Amino acid sequence: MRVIKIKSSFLFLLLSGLLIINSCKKPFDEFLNEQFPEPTSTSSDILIDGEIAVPIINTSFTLSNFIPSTDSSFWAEVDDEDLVHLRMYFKDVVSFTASQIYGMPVITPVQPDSVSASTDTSKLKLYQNALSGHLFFDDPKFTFIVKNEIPIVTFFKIDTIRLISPVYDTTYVRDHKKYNINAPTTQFETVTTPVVVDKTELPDFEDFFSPIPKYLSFFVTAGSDQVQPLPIGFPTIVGNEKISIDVDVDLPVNAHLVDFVLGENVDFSFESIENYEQIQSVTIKLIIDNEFPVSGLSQVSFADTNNEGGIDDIILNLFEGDGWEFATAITNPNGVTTSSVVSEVTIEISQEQLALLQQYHASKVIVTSKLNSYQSSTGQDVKIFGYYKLGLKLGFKVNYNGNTGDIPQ
Amino acid sequence: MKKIIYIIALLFISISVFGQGNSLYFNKNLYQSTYLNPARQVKCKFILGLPGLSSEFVTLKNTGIGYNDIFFEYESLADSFHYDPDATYDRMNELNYIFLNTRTALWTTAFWIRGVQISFDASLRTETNFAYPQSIFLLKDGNFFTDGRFISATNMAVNTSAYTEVSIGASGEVAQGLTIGGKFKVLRGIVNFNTEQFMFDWHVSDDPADIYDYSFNTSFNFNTTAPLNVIYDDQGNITSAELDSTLIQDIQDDPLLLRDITTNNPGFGVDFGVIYNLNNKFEFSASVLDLGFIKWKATPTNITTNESEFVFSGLDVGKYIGTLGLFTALKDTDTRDSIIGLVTEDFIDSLLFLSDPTITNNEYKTSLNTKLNFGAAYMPKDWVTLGFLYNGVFFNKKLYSSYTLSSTLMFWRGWSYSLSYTMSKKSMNNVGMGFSYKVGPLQMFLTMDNFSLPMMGARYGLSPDKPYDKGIATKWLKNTDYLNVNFGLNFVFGCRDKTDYGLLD
Repeated sequence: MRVIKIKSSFLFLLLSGLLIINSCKKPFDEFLNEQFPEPTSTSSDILIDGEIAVPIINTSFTLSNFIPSTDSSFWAEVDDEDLVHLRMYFKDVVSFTASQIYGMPVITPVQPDSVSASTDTSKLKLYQNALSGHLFFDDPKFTFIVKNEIPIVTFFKIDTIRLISPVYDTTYVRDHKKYNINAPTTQFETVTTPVVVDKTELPDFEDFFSPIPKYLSFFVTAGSDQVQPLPIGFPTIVGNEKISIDVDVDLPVNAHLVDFVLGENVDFSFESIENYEQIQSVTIKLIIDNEFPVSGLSQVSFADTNNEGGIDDIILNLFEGDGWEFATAITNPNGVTTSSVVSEVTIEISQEQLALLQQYHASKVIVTSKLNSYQSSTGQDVKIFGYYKLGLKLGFKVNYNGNTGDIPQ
Repeated sequence: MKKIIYIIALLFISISVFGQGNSLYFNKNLYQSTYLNPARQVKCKFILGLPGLSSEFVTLKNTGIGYNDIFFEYESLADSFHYDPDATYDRMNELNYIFLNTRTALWTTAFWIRGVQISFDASLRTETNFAYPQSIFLLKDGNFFTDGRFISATNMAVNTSAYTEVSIGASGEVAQGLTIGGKFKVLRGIVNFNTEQFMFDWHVSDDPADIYDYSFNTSFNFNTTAPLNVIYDDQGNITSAELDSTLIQDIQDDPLLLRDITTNNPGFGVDFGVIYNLNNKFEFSASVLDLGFIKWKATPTNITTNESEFVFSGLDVGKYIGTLGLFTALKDTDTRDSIIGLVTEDFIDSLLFLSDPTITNNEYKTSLNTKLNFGAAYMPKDWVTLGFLYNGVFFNKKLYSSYTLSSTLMFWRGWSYSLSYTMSKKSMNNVGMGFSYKVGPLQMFLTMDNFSLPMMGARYGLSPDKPYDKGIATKWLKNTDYLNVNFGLNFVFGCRDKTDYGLLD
């Protein structure tokens, strides 16, 4: 083997020369840039395939969860037995002044006279989302609170009770009767007389009130039917003394529902969801544990909107046929729940159905439910208590499969 | 500069054997070979290493995925890449590690007394590892499985220690050709974070009676000496923990405080080794390194939870909707957003509350990562050594092995060049080189068990304008999962081997 004697100083000079020559070349970081492209310059191609499942809601509602406390004309309360009462209160639905009834001046003794008028039409918000069907309250009750400042008015007459039901395009009218009312004996005094109209007064009240009226009005008369002097403490009538009427509606929820349909719609947009074509299917699971003695045949529909923002056409129904029915709880003969019933449903939305939502610009979700109370066909009433719960569990699973980019393999 | 950081970051996530500078093991010229076998003797009367210059040692490795396991090239499109989560996942181990170990020699002295080589060393060492399980990345397939699989971060761990090591060593020939050596090491811990146990399993129910309920099984046990301030709420629940900046500031103001802290974190360790030389033609050797422990007693904090299960089966929105009304809540954007915010906050609070960590301040002990070396060498000439080295490292109660073939050539007077090939599980491209030279008493050295980065530099030097072409240097670096660098300088005096081997043709 031949040994070459090379001085280390020669090697040092050689290496130094190479370094000097290379120092004039492209910067090293620029060179590395070419060899290792930034991750941001890579394609977005990712082959994805899998399933993501999410439990969304696991909750329970009592009736109080559904009732806004801030709306005084739509509220509920429970009585001592925890029975829910639906309540509506309409203030000053009508009022008359002494001059309207008797003219001016009023000369004593005052001759009999009266005046009649229709009350304001009051909206029954209770039925705001009701679309059709019947709700039979066992003991509906209207209380007219007559507030009287006129010393000589002695009667109040409900000539007719009118319930307007646009759903059935019908106005239901009942003639009614005359009530004696209290009158003040001194000036500036207001005397209140409650006048209760219930099924003892109106035997068919239950049926009469059942076809989901949206509006309520009365034709009433007030006045006196005898010649009367003014009371000692009430020397003159100036004319602006008045009689005014409030109406308090009390509906204890001991009732039965027959094909009572509720509906609501919520804004919805599918267009912001990109790459939906990578979604193979969406599976939705719903479990309801129902303590309410009411079943519901439910449907969830997706719709587009017309030019006015209303609902135009149904694009897709989530449930097949008429919908999915959650079962009613079981009650005893008194209409009190003895056991809750669990209902489950699994819905699968295919990619084709998702494409429909995108293609037709689905913008509204319509939820409808046809409610029937336990054994409603027999006319059995059920009681709704404040403590009844509706357990709701909702989860979904997305099956996805696709390529997020467009560069071919 | 940005690109260089990027490359280093890539190496961080792409490196793969438990290296120790295997190229060094058979190098009889370098004192630093005694770090790998304390029986090794360097035939110089006096060796001196200066603080910070004597030896710098860095090892970086990843037993998991590398650059080429994440970015996949198109055959037809030279400069475009895509991701393939399935392929990336398949290339991982069940449990993957990233290691970063460093050793900075603060002082090195070796000399001979009556045929025994005596050494004194002081070093600053850091050992850091991060473990990540493959099962986290199962998320690529979503979270719903019907075959028993589930997402799990169990065994994820961060362990890091910084400590000083002061050692005294001796090596002597006890019989013809048989040399034994050992080092006794006094350790002083500086800072430690130790994941003793970590469990986080996420099951998604496929029971038809459920709505894909999540159940989380969690428990963990961390120890640290980092000064922590733990914040509690009114109910005594832990809300957060943060570093105590006061102590850090105090140390900056008065560095002697650090000495007090390290004094309170004592530890001990030993290295020992044996070498048998047969007729100056064959050599058989073995060593055990870093057998020892550190007790962490200065500002220890232990954060522990019991094993608990948290089932999440949906949000209890009912209590948030309250009397607002269901449809009001759904239809009004502000109301809906505020409800979502409340629900999310409550969910996180529930998770924190359920994990219910307890905090104590008990001292704890960590073991060093013990290493084993078994070597065999053949020396056909006095200027060449052909060696085989088995290296095993105990980590997390498992033994991680690597195998190195090397040749070391001596040339000129005290110069050497070594070439090595190291392989370990899923890491087969570790060609390393080492070079040392001696001018007068000054001896300098540089060794690397994986030479891909210098090769990239060489390519740059030779053809910097050549465009990206999937050349061997680039490919090698992208497939590299191990980086090991050891460099430094010694002053050596009275070396017995005065032979000038020349330069081989």
